[in-house]
Amino acid sequence: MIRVEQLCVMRNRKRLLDDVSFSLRRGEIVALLGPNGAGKSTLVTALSGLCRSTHGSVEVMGRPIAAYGARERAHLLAYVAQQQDFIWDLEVRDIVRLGARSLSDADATLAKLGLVELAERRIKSLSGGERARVMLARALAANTPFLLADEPAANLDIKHQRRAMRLLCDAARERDTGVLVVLHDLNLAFAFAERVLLMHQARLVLDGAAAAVAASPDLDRVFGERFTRATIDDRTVVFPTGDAE
Amino acid sequence: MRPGALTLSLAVAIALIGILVGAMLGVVNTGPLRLLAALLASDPTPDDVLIAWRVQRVTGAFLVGACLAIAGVIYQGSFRNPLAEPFLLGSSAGGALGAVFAILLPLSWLAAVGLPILAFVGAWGATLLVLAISRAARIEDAAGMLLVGIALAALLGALRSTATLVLSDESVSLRALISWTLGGLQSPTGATLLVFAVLTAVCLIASLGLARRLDILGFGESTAATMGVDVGRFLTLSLTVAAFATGLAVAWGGVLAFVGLIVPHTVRWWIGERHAPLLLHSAFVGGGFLAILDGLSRSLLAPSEIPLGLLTSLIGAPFFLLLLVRRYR
Repeated sequence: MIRVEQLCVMRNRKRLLDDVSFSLRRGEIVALLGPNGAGKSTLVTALSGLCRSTHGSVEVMGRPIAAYGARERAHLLAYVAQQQDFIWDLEVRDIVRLGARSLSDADATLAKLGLVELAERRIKSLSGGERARVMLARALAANTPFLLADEPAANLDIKHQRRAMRLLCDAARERDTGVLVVLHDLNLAFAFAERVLLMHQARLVLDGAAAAVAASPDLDRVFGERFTRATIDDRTVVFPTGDAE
Repeated sequence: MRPGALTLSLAVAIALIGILVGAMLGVVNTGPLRLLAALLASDPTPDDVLIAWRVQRVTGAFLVGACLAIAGVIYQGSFRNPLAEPFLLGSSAGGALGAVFAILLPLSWLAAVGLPILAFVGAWGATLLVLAISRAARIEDAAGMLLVGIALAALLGALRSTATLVLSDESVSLRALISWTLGGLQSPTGATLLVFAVLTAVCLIASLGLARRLDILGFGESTAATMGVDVGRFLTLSLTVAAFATGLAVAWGGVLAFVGLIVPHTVRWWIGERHAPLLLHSAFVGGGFLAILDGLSRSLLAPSEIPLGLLTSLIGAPFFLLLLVRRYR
């Protein structure tokens, strides 16, 4: 389990995270929502051990994240960054292998993400969406107990957005991976996540089941939009229909 | 082309052909059979001795080229900057400053043992200084980092010239020193050549141990950290290996610009950018390349010898400009 207790992060006298507490269990998929600047990416980087907390704690499997070495941490958490640098024009297969525990894990993940046809292509020759799928494959191939993904669906078309989310759900169900995924598409989050965390101005304002968060008036307040709700196939769908009062 | 046994065999063939061609060229060009006869002669004539000396020197050139190519690949991977190389980063200038001190200071033991050691210390110090200045100034782009290196190289070059003028006396030939600085290969004896070869092999093996993490570092420091790379510790290690390779090259070959740029880039176009095969192929191709240049430096204006550093700059500077144009177009 990842347990976050009263986490605060400050940089240049600015509060980036303020008293954030929640937990992420293995096997569950949790979406992290909030407007730009709410602190979602900072929270994910703090969980991955990349950013030091000013106050509070992040524990992974009962130990503070800072107590793990880089290699140990990589065996516990895989991370897909929001923006990805590609200095070297490596082949897709090589990139996925760099993240994988074994060659068979890498090849299986390539097949599962439908990347076999692209396996020998160079990463810089791919579209933004294809690159995002490769980096997701790289993280999934690591086969870690937890996976943190910062907007992995951002550059994907609708078909591949849903496919990526299904893969994250599969990872949670089949491999018992705890998945925390930052999303901007509210309906994608409500469709696939079991639980939703809603952030606003560096604070965690809601932590609950997807349907409960979708129904909450806090959603309108946080995004400054008036949402109309509908239920389709037992899932709540929201449509922005004007400025919130 | 995907790297494999075929490409590696070709790289080894380039290395062997480079040594052969380099040894055949000189004031008097020789054929391969004459070369073999001179090497195998039981009662060598003065000509045989001269040709055998040429083989040793060309082998030295091969090792210098291999070291510079290895250093170039590691610097490019560590700085995440395809334009980084020992000369442009000021690492060669640091090595040369250390080596000049070793030659000029009136301590006899320094010249023998201290030359490679001070060259390494100078190369390492200069590299760490470029990294520290870039980090302090929050310079992350390729051009900014190179500007720091170029400024540092100019400063270290001025310090080297000052040290040469102040410390040189009748015991050290100023002309010989300047010629060495411009890239004048030492002519190692069999024993020193063996030591040099072993140290180069150590550099290559150590660099292969860095290869996977150099690949990962290409995704950015944050992603690399989450993929198990302790970035700070790794950079210290990788830059130490690169500085060691640069120090070795400077100690035996003086300041040779652009070899660490031309060779890795050419090999990248050939076999791709994965660091393990890139390092292995670059070592052989870099060695072969410099062995041929050494032969040309002795034969083009024979009986005069063109300093090797001038030849590498004549080829390397246009190559560097070409890379810049491709990058910014």
